[in-house]
Amino acid sequence: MPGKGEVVRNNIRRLRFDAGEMTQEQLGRLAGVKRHTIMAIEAGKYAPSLLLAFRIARAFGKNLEDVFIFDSGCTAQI
Amino acid sequence: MSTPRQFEVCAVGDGSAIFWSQINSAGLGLEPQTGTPAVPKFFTRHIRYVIHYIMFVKGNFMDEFEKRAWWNLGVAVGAVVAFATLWIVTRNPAGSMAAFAVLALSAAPFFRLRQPVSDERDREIDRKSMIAAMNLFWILLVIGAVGMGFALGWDTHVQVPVRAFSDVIWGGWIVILTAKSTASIRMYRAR
Repeated sequence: MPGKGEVVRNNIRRLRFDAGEMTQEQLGRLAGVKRHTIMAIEAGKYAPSLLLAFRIARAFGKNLEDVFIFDSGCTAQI
Repeated sequence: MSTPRQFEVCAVGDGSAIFWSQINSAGLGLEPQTGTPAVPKFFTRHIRYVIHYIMFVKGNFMDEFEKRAWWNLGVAVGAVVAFATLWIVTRNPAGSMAAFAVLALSAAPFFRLRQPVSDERDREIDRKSMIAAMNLFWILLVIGAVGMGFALGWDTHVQVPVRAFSDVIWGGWIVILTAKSTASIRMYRAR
């Protein structure tokens, strides 16, 4: 469960665009989920499981951290 | 000098004038051309818009399991409304229990030949909504069980008709159905 201010962002929309304007339906088929789930992940409404996150990253041929970015919500203070 | 033909007048517009003139000439009188219509036009237009919006706009983007949750919520509310209506109209509490037959409609989605495929998000929403529904049910159950003892006295003897037990069981099912579908809809539509 994410802590206060912690959020997982993603680049799925940009990566879909880069991959020849791949549709959510096509990505869903590659990752083994429905279009609605891809929509929810893309909009940040749903945090996917680790397995699904790896499947999505593999669909783009990228590493996990190229697709999903962990934002701790605070900046380091020196 | 030629006189304009009558159909040229009717051909102006979106064709509804022709449609309604045919209806009226058939003697059905569904939509009077003159005078005040039985149902205001703006009202019917809004109803049509809402139906169109639900079926063709939201319906296309709605998940199959969200539709199922809306259906279950409708069934639960329908059963309560039917029960209250029968009670008020017939003044027969036992007979009003017939309204609970409406709850059988909650099984209707399971009779579809092509069942929708669920993925991990659907399963998680289903699990969370079931937990929420059971939590609410248990809270109400404990309040009911303990509250009755405190309100009436733990050793008091009461006489209740058998239908009261049936009503409580059906009511419990309605609570679970309503809570589960509401929680599902909330999670599907979370922003």
